[in-house]
Amino acid sequence: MTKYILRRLLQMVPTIFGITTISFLLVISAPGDPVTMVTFAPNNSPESIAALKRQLGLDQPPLVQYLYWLVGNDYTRIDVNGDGEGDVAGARKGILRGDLGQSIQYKRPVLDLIVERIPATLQLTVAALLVGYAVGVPLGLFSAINHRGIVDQFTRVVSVLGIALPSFWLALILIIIFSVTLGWLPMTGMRDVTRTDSGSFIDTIPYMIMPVTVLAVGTVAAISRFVRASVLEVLQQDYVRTARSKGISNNRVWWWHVSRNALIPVATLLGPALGSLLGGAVIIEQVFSWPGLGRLSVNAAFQRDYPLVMGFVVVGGVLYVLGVLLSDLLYAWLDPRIQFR
Amino acid sequence: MAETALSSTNVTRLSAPLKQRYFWQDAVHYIVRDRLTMLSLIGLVILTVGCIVGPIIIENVLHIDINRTSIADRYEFPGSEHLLGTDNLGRDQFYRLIYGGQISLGIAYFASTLSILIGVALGMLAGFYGGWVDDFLIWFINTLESIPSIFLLLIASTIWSPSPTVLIVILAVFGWASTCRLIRGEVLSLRERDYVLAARALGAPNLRLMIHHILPNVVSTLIVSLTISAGTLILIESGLSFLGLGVQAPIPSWGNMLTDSRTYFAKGTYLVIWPGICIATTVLFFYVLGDGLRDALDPRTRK
Repeated sequence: MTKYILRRLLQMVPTIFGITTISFLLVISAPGDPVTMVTFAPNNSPESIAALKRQLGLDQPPLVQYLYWLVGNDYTRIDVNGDGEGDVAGARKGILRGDLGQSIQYKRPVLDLIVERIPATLQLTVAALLVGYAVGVPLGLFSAINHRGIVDQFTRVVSVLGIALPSFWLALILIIIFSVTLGWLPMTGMRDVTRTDSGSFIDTIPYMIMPVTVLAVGTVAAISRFVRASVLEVLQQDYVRTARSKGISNNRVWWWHVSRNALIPVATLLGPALGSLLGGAVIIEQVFSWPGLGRLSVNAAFQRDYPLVMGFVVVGGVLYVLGVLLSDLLYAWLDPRIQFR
Repeated sequence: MAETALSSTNVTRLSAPLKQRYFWQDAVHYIVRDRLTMLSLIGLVILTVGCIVGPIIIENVLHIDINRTSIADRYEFPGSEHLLGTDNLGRDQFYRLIYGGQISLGIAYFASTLSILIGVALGMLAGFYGGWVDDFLIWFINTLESIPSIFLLLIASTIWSPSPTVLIVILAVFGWASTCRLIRGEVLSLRERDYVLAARALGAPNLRLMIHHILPNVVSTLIVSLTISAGTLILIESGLSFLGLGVQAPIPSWGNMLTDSRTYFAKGTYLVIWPGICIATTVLFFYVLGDGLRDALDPRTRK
């Protein structure tokens, strides 16, 4: 098992390298002069702009810039005044040491900004994930038991709708029904803005109901489809026929032989589901003004805050890769038939 | 003598009632009888034709500028003058929906075609040649799929302010990975088939093998992929446009018609409902059609 974990960790390295490369290539291909974009100071003299460029390392070839971004430049001395000699030590540590750079808009380290917002987003995504499993698994099971029956048809309609309905539209409809018309639920935000203290988790629950519901719809659809297919497949297995022919009661065959085997692969959905929830949260947080990663990233995109947007690509990618690793490990742990090769 | 006579009657008896049908005829025959799929296909044809012809009529026959704002006509309730009412700037919602459909459907059709072209070309190369080409491509796909695509699209639309054309390219460039993976997997098994070996033995060059012997066998996968990805792209485009990062106002798209919806909440619920219904039905049509095509084009999955 230890060997398997180590091997899987090693496999992550090229992927994470790829994620950083893609995000760097995207930004470096941006048209326009980065300095004028970064500083918004059109009246600067050409000399000071050149100095700023040297200070930011923008005079270097792209490959060197990439290395600076990756491993930092604090081991070099930067030639700020252009006389060929190093003047000050570089300030960047590089993303490999957790330095994602400075946000242009907030003038603060990107990593700090992202880490601050992670709990709010996780609160939504984890809740949606729990709801997704809690509703999706039974729905899938019952629709397989009731194959081609009413529950099955209902589940299939729900799962198709769950994928086809645009999440932001569903969110708007819920707001119109439950906030505007009925006034049961708060429209936006995470907690009562009139309160001075930050409040507890319980206070945020009314605010969570609508965003979590909207986020969970897609997850419920995906999980129930998966469970249904998985159960129907297990039903074809020889050991199920053997169990039935031994005269084991239908209930026991279902809960003991079928469900147990059919539900193990559901663990593999955890990683991808978390990834798509993270993506979905970007739009949903915008609709509900939820102060998480999603709102920050859309804001960053509007403000052309490149370091922050790059930070999101890197952090989002790494979170996804970790999620997949976690679900693979869970799968291997749950199913003794998986061999750690 | 008696033996040959017997076998020849057998042959005639077998071949007489069986009308020979080619693969595509068979598939069409199957789809025509599949009601739900036909319904989706007809729905999509109507939507598409309506969104192409509609704007021409609106401009040339009715002489209406759909972007003309009119403060006096704000939030007019659906009625005989404005079929689906007017929005917060006094623009007719029905006409804007038709224009938005032209933009949204156009983006979906072009972007999915472009992304399928990229996916098929790369998937064929990787599956056919294998080796480092395959390793590199699989690494790239794994990487691309591990970044939540919304972040990539955010960064891309930050860098290139998207006109509909740019948006098509951006969506295609980030959307080919799953098709590519599918096609590569099929090519991987197809290239080992005996008929490919036979063609190779006859001296066919690689390009001919790929285009004449392998490509025809992935066409059904390609068509299904195209349909499903068109549906997915409608959703992605509308999401981006809703955020204000896709199609830019005043050009309408089904997504960006909802961007300012917060201001309509009190006055015009009818303004929130229709764009969403347009998106959802179109996506539903694409997905159902994709499912139906999958069944029709793959005899093994027919129910």
